[in-house]
Amino acid sequence: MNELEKEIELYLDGSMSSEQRLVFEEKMSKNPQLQKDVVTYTEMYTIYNENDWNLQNTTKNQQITDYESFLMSEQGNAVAKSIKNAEEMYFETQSSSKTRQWLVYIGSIAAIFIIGFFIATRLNTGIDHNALYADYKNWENLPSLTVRDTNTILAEGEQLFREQQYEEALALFTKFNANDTTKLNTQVLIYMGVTQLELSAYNDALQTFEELKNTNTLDAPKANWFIALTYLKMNSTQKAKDVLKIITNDSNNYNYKKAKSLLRALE
Amino acid sequence: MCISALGYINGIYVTPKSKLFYSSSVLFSKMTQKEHDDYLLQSLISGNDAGILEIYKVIYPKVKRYVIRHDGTEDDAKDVLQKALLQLATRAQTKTFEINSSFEGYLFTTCKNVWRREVKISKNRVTNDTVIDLVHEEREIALAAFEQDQWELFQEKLQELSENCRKILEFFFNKIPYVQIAKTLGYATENTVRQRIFKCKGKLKESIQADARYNELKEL
Repeated sequence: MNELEKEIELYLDGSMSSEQRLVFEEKMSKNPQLQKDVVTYTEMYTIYNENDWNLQNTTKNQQITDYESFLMSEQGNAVAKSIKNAEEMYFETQSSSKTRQWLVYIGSIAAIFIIGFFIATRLNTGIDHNALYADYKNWENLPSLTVRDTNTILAEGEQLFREQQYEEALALFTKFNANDTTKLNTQVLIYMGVTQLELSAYNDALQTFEELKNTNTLDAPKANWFIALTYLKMNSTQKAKDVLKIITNDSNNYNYKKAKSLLRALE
Repeated sequence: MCISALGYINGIYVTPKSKLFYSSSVLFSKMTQKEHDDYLLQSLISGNDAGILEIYKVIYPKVKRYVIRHDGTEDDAKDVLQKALLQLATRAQTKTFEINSSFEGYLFTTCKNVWRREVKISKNRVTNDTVIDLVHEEREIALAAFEQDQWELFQEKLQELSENCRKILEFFFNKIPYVQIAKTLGYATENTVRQRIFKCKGKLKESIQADARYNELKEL
């Protein structure tokens, strides 16, 4: 049995010679369970790969037939029509507000200049940590927690985080983390720390990022960047600079360029 | 002179964004999240234009951002959302159907899968010499719905494994090299990783095959 499983692996890896393949396929034709296993494994290799999708090539299945007959039915057509209507309405309101958007756009450019001027003049007198923090935090670029995981707590937590309901989000992340005994989900640690940072719970945030730093994971080196941001928000310029200097020591470090420009802004 | 950290951020950065975010759901502010989710799903099932418009407001910007970030266009994004909604309505109609996460999260996952499907189909068109039959739209949606059922079953089965197995398999199926898996998860050698994967993979296969729904999906 175990031997067969190993053969399946070689077969699916494509590491069998053409001769071995023929022998294996012959075996398969005589063994329905082996055949079934190869099918299931093939599906697993496709379905669990985030960049792939398992296309169905049969239509001879009752479920598919049921779906299709619903879509062909009067009710199915009505739903399809409603979706098209809603889409039209949505994009109509979008385009009617285009002129307004244009004005907002122009307005934003002006605002950027004004804020830029504001920051520039403030920089001469002292550093505005809050503005720098806001400029550099970029939370919208944090990778989504729901890509890899169908865990509903995380999906909910991320949603709350994006809505800036930090207290509620933190409760969920903390809950998840408490149940996650292996502590391998470092993405959650990042979200948790950032949420604590947004809530100005600096000690908690620093502790979480330290924890991230001590994990033996690919995300661990990111911790320094978040620690630097924490010190920045705390107005601890010297400590922020110290951490940023560590990041700028090696151009392979996470956010090397950002660290460099932030360091320059602080000096 | 010193402005409080929170105040400053509230004044300049937070407020405009959250206003934008909530503008669509002001009307529903008295509903709980669950009631709002039910309202959205019911609107979709019953073909209520106003409710579906509400869904568009919440989800379309996210779908657009996602599709564009994954090499699609704005038209692709429109197409993806339309297909995902129709697929979801179909699946919700024809059998006992329940969403265990938020409606928005669920719909977004469906959209991501629809886009992965589109990418795969267009890849197949490029690499295969054989002419792929053009299928009419209803069949296309029916197939996608069926594939989504299968995808969800497989995800559920993966979640049922131990955390340890699940993690290592996620890396494996996404083609992360053994060396890196060993380093990240703290295994001594590549060989231990290989053995662990072999075992977990077998376990997962068995649990999939033992599920009655899997065999139903296979029935002709």
